[in-house]
Amino acid sequence: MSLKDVLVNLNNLITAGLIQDYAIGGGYAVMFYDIPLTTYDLDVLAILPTENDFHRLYEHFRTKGAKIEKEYIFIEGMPVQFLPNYISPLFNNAIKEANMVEFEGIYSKIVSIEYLIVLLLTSFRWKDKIRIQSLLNKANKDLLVDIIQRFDNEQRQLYERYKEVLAST
Amino acid sequence: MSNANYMKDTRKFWQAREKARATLDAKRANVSYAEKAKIAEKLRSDARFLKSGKIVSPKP
Repeated sequence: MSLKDVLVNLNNLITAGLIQDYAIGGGYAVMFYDIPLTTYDLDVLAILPTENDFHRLYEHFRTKGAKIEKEYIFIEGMPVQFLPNYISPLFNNAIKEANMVEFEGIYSKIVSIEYLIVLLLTSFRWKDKIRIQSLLNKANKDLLVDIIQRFDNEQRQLYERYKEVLAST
Repeated sequence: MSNANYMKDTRKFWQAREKARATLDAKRANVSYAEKAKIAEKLRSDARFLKSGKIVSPKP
């Protein structure tokens, strides 16, 4: 029931051709960047070209007898949410440009700090704002603004939210 | 991936995810003290494991 076993399971999904690639996001990525946090579910951004591939992934775990509750698949007892790349180009690039990390001989990808902040700007709940504030001093600001500009909408919502966080820091 | 293949309306998707998360949070809030201690210990262990990670990109 360790996080290491979960990562091994995720890597096996690539080998089995069920996902093309993945990167850890959410609270566990925040924790990786040394921000203490209380979270217990794992957000996994995954390259799954179509919705059918997404259903095939759930079917794979269902067949294996894994516990599935709403959107959560329990892997090694850990609730995991898969976030497919077809949600938006931001998710797609966050996976492709994620950091490869070695954990005790296991390789896994973690979303970069800058993409993590932009993903948090997208959800923008009160706890996301706190996480953004903690992550900001570790981020490359030029790169962060570049990502915001690449994925912002016409109303420049992400940039406005970014400014709001900066103003409250 | 071409823009045409991305989800057009993500609201439903996020609503379902938030609902699932809220259900999970509510479940965890109602577990016994012993269970809460177990969760806290797992979190500490996960944090230690994450701290042991080293960025090596690209993969060697």
